[in-house]
Order: sequence, then C-alpha cells, then structure tokens
Amino acid sequence: MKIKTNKIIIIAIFLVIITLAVILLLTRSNKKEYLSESIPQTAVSFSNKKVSIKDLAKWVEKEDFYLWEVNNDIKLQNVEQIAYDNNLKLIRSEEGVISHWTKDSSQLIYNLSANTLTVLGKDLIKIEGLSNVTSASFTELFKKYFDLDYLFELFMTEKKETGETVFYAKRYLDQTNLIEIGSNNFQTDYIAVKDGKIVYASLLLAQYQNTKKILPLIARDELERYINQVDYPKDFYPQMSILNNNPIFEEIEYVESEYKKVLNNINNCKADNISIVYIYKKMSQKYLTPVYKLEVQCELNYEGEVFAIPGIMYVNAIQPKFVSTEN
Amino acid sequence: MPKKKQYEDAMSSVFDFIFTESKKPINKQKPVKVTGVDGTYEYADAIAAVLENPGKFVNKTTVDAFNDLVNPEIATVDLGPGEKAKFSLLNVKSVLENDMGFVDKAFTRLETDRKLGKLAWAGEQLSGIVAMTWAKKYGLDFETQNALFNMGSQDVLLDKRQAEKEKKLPAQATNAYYLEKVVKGEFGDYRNIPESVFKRSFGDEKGGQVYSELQKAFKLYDEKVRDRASAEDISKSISDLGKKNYQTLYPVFESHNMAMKEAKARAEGKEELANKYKSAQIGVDLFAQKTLRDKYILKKKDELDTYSEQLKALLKSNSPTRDQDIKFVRTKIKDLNKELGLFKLQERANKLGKIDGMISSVKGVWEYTAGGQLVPAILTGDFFDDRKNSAFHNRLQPTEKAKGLSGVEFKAPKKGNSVLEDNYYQMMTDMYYLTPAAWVKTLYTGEGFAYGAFKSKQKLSKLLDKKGLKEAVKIEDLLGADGQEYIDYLTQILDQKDFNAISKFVKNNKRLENLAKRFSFLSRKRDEFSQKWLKGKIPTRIAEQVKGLRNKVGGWLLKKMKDGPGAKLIKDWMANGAFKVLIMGIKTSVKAYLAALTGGTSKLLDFLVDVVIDFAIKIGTKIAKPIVKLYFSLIIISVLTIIGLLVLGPSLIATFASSQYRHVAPNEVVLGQTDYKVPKDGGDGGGGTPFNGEPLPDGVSCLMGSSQQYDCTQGAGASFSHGALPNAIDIGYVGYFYAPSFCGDGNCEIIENGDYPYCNGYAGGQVVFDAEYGGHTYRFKLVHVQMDPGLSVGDELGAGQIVARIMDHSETGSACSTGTHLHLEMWYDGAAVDPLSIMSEDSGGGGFGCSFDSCGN
Repeated sequence: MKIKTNKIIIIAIFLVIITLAVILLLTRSNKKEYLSESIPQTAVSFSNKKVSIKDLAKWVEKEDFYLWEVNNDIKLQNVEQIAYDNNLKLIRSEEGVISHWTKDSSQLIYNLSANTLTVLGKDLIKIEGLSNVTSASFTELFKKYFDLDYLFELFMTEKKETGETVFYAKRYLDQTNLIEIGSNNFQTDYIAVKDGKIVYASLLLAQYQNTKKILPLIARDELERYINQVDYPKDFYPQMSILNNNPIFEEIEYVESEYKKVLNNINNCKADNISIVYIYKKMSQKYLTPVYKLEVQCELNYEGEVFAIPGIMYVNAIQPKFVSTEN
Repeated sequence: MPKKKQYEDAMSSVFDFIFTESKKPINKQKPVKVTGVDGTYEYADAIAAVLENPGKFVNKTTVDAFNDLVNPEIATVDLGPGEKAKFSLLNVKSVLENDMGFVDKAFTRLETDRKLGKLAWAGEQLSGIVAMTWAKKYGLDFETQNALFNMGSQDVLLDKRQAEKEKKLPAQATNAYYLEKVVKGEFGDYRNIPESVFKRSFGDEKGGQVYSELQKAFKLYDEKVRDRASAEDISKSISDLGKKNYQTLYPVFESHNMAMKEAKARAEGKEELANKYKSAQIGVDLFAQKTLRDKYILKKKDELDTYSEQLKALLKSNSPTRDQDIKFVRTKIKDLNKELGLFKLQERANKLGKIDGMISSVKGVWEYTAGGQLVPAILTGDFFDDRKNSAFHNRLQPTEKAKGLSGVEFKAPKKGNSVLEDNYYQMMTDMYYLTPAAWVKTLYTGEGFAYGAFKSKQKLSKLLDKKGLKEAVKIEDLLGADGQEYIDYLTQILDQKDFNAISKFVKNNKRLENLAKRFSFLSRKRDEFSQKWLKGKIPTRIAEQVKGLRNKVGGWLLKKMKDGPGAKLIKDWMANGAFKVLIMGIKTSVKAYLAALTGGTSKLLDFLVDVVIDFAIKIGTKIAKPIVKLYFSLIIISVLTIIGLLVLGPSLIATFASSQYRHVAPNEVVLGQTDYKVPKDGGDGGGGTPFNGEPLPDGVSCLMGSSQQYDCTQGAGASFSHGALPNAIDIGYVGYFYAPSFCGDGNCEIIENGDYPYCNGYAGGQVVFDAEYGGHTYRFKLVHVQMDPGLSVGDELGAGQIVARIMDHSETGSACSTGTHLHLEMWYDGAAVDPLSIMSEDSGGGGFGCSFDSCGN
C-alpha cells in the first residue's frame, strides 16, 4: 500500500513537471519579441508625391512582420566557377565593389555592392531540358550554381522583338512575403530564354536572416496623417509606359526639363490596393523591413490633355517611433 | 528672235533645266532635245545624254560639281602639316550663323581624318600608351611614364618604314637631351666605362654598338671644346648626333635613369616606390630587347598557367585547407597578372587591333562589292577619292594627281607593284573619265582633256617602243618649246609612215592640251579670286594660337564677307539662285578670256561667245543607248576586276589588311556585336554649342579609354531623339566611363544617381558628376549606365576612377533606342555644350582627346 502510494506521488510529481514544462515551452514559443529600438529606414527614399489612401477597400491584415538582416556573405567563388567553366577572363576585380569577366561579347558582372549577378551571353548558365520556364526553374538555377534554396514567384513574361522571352520573378523571403527591388519591373531576378537557352539574366545573390524581431506596423489612420508629409519615407514609380506611342511624349524623350514637367503634373494619386513587400536595394542597407506597396491611379495634365497614369508607391510601414533618422 | 539672244536663252534654259528638272521625280522630268550634234567626243556624247536623261546623271554629285564652279575659296586656314580648313562661298551661310562653329567643325573633321590616317601605326603607339598607363597606375612620375611610353612603342624605334617624324620625336629628343648630359659628365660616368662592361650587360653586338656610339659622342664633344665652339654649337652638334643614334643609346639612358630613381627612393626609405622604379627599369630593359621580353613573358605565362590549374583543382577539392590554399593561389595569380599586366595588355591590344583591322578592311571591300556600293561609288566619283576609298591603305583607289603641259591638273593612274595592279589602275582611271562627275568637272577644269593628252602620250610611247624608236625619239623634246625644230630633225631619221604617226600625235596632243587650258579658264579665274583673299591676310597655324586670335580671325572673315566685294556675289547667289550666277560667271569668264586672246571689239566678242555657247549646246547625241551599254560594261568590268584582284592577289590583300589597325585601350570592356544595331539615321544634327575651353593639364586623356575610335551614333540636336538637345550625343561600344585625371582634390563629385525616368520603359540608370579644374566646371550626365558599385551621391572621385559601366541593351530593354550605347550630355561652366566638341578636343583646348567618327556616319 505504501509502495503504491509512493508510486502515485512520484507519477503525479512527474506529470506536474511535464505539464509545467509543456506549458513553459508552449508559452515560450508564443512569446513575441518586438523591436525595442529604432532602426534606420534604408529601403525607401523621400518622394513628395501626394497620395490618398482613403478609398482603400481593404487594409493589410495584421500579421507579424519580421525584421530581416542583410547577410554579408557573397557568392564570389560560385561566380568564379561559372567564369572558369566558360573560359571568361577577369578584367576587373575590386573587393566589395565589382568583379567583371568577359569573353568576346559574353560578360559576367558581379556587383558586390548590391550582391547581384548580371549574366550577358548565351549558355553561360544552363538549365537542362529548359522548355517551359516556371518559378521552379529559378529555384533550380539557384540550387545548381549557388547552393541556395529559394522559392520564387514568376509574375511576368515579356516577348522581345529580338526573339527571346524574358521571365521576371520575385524571391520569397519567407513563406508568404516577397522581396522586391524598387526598379524596372520590381523583380529580384529575370532570365531571358531563346531556343531553350538562357541568353541573359540578372540574379539576386544576397542572403538574409530573420532576426525574429517583430516590427510594429503603422496603423491606417496614423499613416493617413503622415503619408503626405514631406519627410515621410516614400518611393513613387509611375508606369510611364502607358504613354508609349503617344506622339506628344515621343518628342520629349530625353528632355529632362519636359519630363520633369510631366512628372510634376502627375497628381491626384489614389491608392486602390495595398500589400506588404520587403524592398532590397543594396548590401549596405543592413536591414530588410516590411514596406507598404500601394497600387495607385494618378492623373497627368499635360498639353491640355488628361491622362490616367497607374503607378506603384512604396511607403514606410513601420511605426514612426521605431524609425531612426540615421542611415 | 536674234541668234545671240536665242543662244543665250538656250544656255540659260539648259542650266535652268538641269537644276530645276533634276529636283523633280524622274517620271515627271522633261528632257531637252538636242540636235546638230557632231559626235566627235565621247565626253560630248555623254553631256548630250545628260540633257536627254537628267534623272540618271544630274544628281547631287553633279550639282555639287556645278556649284563648285562658282565656289571660290575665300580663305584657307592652315591647321598643321597638310591640313587646311577652307572657307568658301558655299559655307558662307553656316559661317554667318556661327563663325566659330565653322572653325571648330573644321578642326573636329580634320582631327578625325588625321586620326584615321594614324590607324596604320596605331598598334605601335598603343604599346606605348599601355606602358605609360602601367607606370601611371603605379604612381610613377611623369618622366618615367614618358620613358615607358617611348620604350613601349619600341617597334617605332626599330621600324625604318615610318615616315612621320613626330612618332620618333619624343625618343629622339629625349636621347639628345641625355646625350648632352652624358658628354658633359652630368649623367653618369659613361666616359670611364670600358667596352667590356657594355658587352656584359647588352651582349657582344649591342654592347659594342653602345660603346662605339658613346665614343663618337665624346670625340665630337672634345673636338668642339678644343676648337672653342660656342655652347650653342656644341649643343646642336650633340643634339643632332643624339637624334641619329637614339635607337642604340636611348634604352640605355632610360634604364640608367630608372636605376637612379630607384636608388634615390631607397635612400629616402621609400621602399615601395623604389621597388616600382625597379619594375619600371625591368620594363625599360625588356622593351629595349625584344627577345628578352618574349622569354620573360613566356616564363611568367607558364607560372600563371600552373597557378590557374591549381586553382581549378582547389575549387573542386574538399581539403580542409582549401580556403587558405585558394586565397594563397589567388594572391599569386593576382600578383602575376599585375606583373604581366603591361605586356599582356600590349599583346592583347595588338592582336585585337590586327584582327579588327583585317576584318574591317575585308568588310570594306565586301561592302563595296556585295553591298552594292561599288557602282554608285564609281559613278559619283567617291571611288576615286583617297579619303572615301581607303580600304587596304588606299590600294583600291587607282588615281594620283598629275599635271599636263598645259598646267592643268588631272587624275592619272597610279604606278602599281605588278602588271595586274598597273592594268587595274589604268582601267579604273579610264572609267573615272567616263563618269558624270568627271564630265562636269571637265567643263570647267579641263581635266578630261588633259587626261586625253596624257593617254595620247602613252600611246605614242608604246608605238615608239614597238618600233624600237624609244631611244631615237624623245617625246619631251617633241612637245617642248623647240618642238618644231625637233620635228624637222626627225624627218631626217624617220621613214614617212613613222613620221606621220608622230606628227599626228603632236597635233592631237597640242589640241588636247589647248582644250584643257581653255576649259580650265574658269577654275583658274576662280582660284585667282581666292588668292586675292588669301594673300597675307589670314594668319596661319591656327592650331598654335590662343583662343583670342581664333576669335579675331573668325571676326575678320565675317567682316570681309559682309563688307567686302564678296558681299555682292553672295547677294547675287542668295537672291537670284545659283545657276544664274553660274551663267553670269561663265559668260563673263569666257568673254574676258576671248577679249584677252583677241583684244577684239564687243561685237566680235559677242559673236565668239555665241559660238562657244552654240558649241556647248550643239553636241553629240546618241541618246541613252551607249550610256546604258556603258552602265552594264562598268558593272561587269568593276565586279570582274575586284574579283580578279581578290582571287589573284590574296597575299596582296593580306599584306594591306594587316597594315590597318583598330585598337582597343587597356582596361576597356569592348562590347561585342549583339543582335541589336543602333540606328544611324540620327544624322549629324547640328546646333551643338561650340566649345572653347582653357587648357587642361598634361596627361588628361579620353574618359572612355584612350585610343579607340568611338562610334558617335547620334549627334547633338539630331532628329532621332536629340532634336531638343544641343548637348547630347550617343556613343556606341563604350565599356566604362572614367573620372578625369585631374580629379582627386575634392574637385570631382557625384551629384546624382538613379533610374533614368525620361524614356518610356526601363532605360537603366543615369549618373551626373561634376569635375572642376582651373576655375571651370565640367558637368557630365551619363545615361543608360550603372554607377560603379561602391559609389554614392556626394562621393568624391579620384583620378581616373571608374564612374559608371555602360549597360548592355538587354539590361535596359528600352534605352530610347534599339542598341547599347552611352547617352552623354555635358555642360561647361553651366552652359550646355556639344559633348563631341569637348570630348574630341585635345587637352590644350580644354578637352579630353577622344577620337570619334562623324556622328551618324
């Protein structure tokens, strides 16, 4: 009887300990670490273009967005391997800046400051049996040449007059969030394919690590107050291609004064869609922070006519008190 | 209607017709009927055919040829040896609008031509540039850079074929300078160095030569001193000797100079600098002795190959020390590349240049034949112009200038190196005189008749040769002042048949020479008119003068045109149209000539003028048939000739092709041919603001790399996309853009960087940077570029630092055009200026000395 009682007590104590441990574990994993100090907003500049977000039908569902750090690792050896395999000659090499290889008209340019690789030339990089390019093709490319495991979203293709098709992709930072480069078509990578061969490409080789610190986002009403202030971090990319083939604008190509006039006359921008992306520009930006991506519709008044100009705006999404003014 | 008036009207209507009808579409042109033609001369036949078929022959070339008739040269500005800028009535409009622009354009054009002409020796020059760049890179002083430049182009020292003195001048002059110091004992104790030491250093033969030249110099110096010659005389004698023996002594002196600098640096504790001078000395020694250099390069290349193989293996290995080993090997490769850098770049540049040169020469011929350019080029006369037909070192161009007894200049066939070449030159020259351009020119220069006289002389020479009379009969005596006496003498030694043949030749020759002289009257009068303007009024050698004087000259020219007698001519020209002035000119000239001949009354003159005009109208007509036949013959003959040359003379082609270089500057990325072609229909544009800059320091060089000829694909103000941009040009085949060499003092800064927003679609980036020197600011805007990674807005630039890489078209996808190019805009002291004028100006004029072809060509 005594032994049986002792057994029960021991089991009970054991169970309590286990329960406490489980509770502790579960609690710990649910504990969220928020950013405690301010960080510089290096992903976005300062545009004075005003925008209204009043008409946004939906807002970003509140989620935990993490702060990521830009890793200092570079993939120089892998790129060198590509160069050696293709008998390209190194013509320029500056640490932390650039390495440039060429052979005839082929070029391999590793921008070490942005950690991007530009490949110009047929078959410098290959994907076996490439007939239909998908996002998996990008994954395969990165695995094969750089031993990196990434997922991509293929979002656009463009057939060029010279016969190649360019496939644009954005890399997933994690399961749900995409990285964008605030330039061109905002892709992180593209490959151009002709007759089953890659003829040129641009690849983002930068790596990032999750700090596991959650960034508190600015609320909608607060953003409405700040968004049109002069010093609020914002980038504006009007989609001027909509004016292609319009004779008025053909004449002013290159004419900076006229184009500035055009850009200054783009007004009355209204956001009609919002999402969160992470903007990457270069290694020295140190952090990758979530940014609101607004799809906007603006108006252009020029030479007595009104044109509808769509655009993209990237706007700081972090609560202002966590954004430092230092760079 | 009176006959005279009829003829005058007919003449007016002939020219009127030519100028007016030729502007209409061919199907709307009305031919003039010509009757009463005697069919004596093939030229006359052709002129008749012109009138019958204006669309075929009256084109820009012939109209230009007519315009040339009343386009006297008002002024010629001497820009340098064999180079002139001509100011004539035809460009008066552009001068009135922008007088300094005219002079600047002349400079740019001539500079381009001059640099084109220098292609042949560019390979050797490039060697020197590469050597100098290497020295500059290692921070060696200017004197050392110069020494390596001279030594680096060592083929120049050895090549006796080089005719242009300026290439040898630096080496000669420097050697003369050193030699004077040596004989005076101010540069080493060469006097007491025995021959054995030189032989030990340079080998028996070379060492002996060095010693012997030195002894000669010492002997000369001692004699001069003994004879109490003046210091000036001594200096000149030694200098003259130095210019002769530079090939032997110059490398020795430079090597010695390097050694002295090394010793000095070491004495000052500057070990790194001393090592660099040591390397420079090795460079000098190696350049001086080709065999040594080749061995050295081979040895280093073997080492490089070994390390490269090691690196490949290491990259695949899993060894625990892999990373350190890779680092070590990579360092070795880097060091070897640095060491070999100088020689490797030279080798590569030379090879590239030679291959490129060969390709471009063969391409040139191919374009002529398969590209359909040959016949048009022949018909317009371009084929017979050295500047336009320069393939294979002008070897295809068949003519050279000659003068007949009449004093009239004409094109004669060149002398070839073989029978095939001689025949080719003869045939093609004959063809020239059947072209419309030659026919029109004959009317006022008489060159066709002068050539006729030349041909008849050739025929007679052949006849005499055939009859074995070449020694007995001297053609020059026949045609000389005492020709008649000589003919009389010949009756004694020749039989009747031979004598008749010779008499016929003399008569024919005289007739042709007279015709040549008569028909050259107009061009002579025009040249006399020009000479009056040129006599002592215009300063020469503008290139040597300061900016103020250039302004003065431009102003003077303008004043003369506006106020002087030329004003009336301009007024007539502009108000009444060219052809009326032409007719006025012809009539006046003819009357004056005839008056001079006959001293006759106006009635007689009028009659004679009528006769002349009558002659001009009443010329042969056999309508289009012979002309069409001629066309086919021309095509067949030309193609067969070229094919024959290609088939029979491949070695000839190879030899000449290799004499043309298109070279690449070191460290330059050459973007090869892609599927894209930048359209060249932008044209020359114009409207670019001329540039007058203050001199920049020595050593300033082209900001895209030094020695390549750049392809200006669209000029300032050109219609394609620069219509509103007087300060923008597009340049093809640029790899990198560099900061000027005077940067480094906080005087050069990045102002802007970002995506270029002013094209529809993604156009790459734009970078704006300022560079200040001597109180003046150059602003550069580079578009379709990627700023060099590592640079940011606000960063200061160092000398020669890379500012941006020109993006490949595939990276931009738009770039406001269809090809890879740099769009460059420039400002000087805040004013927009044509980048072509700044970039191609030499440093003395505030520019960067780049070489361009004409925009849009």
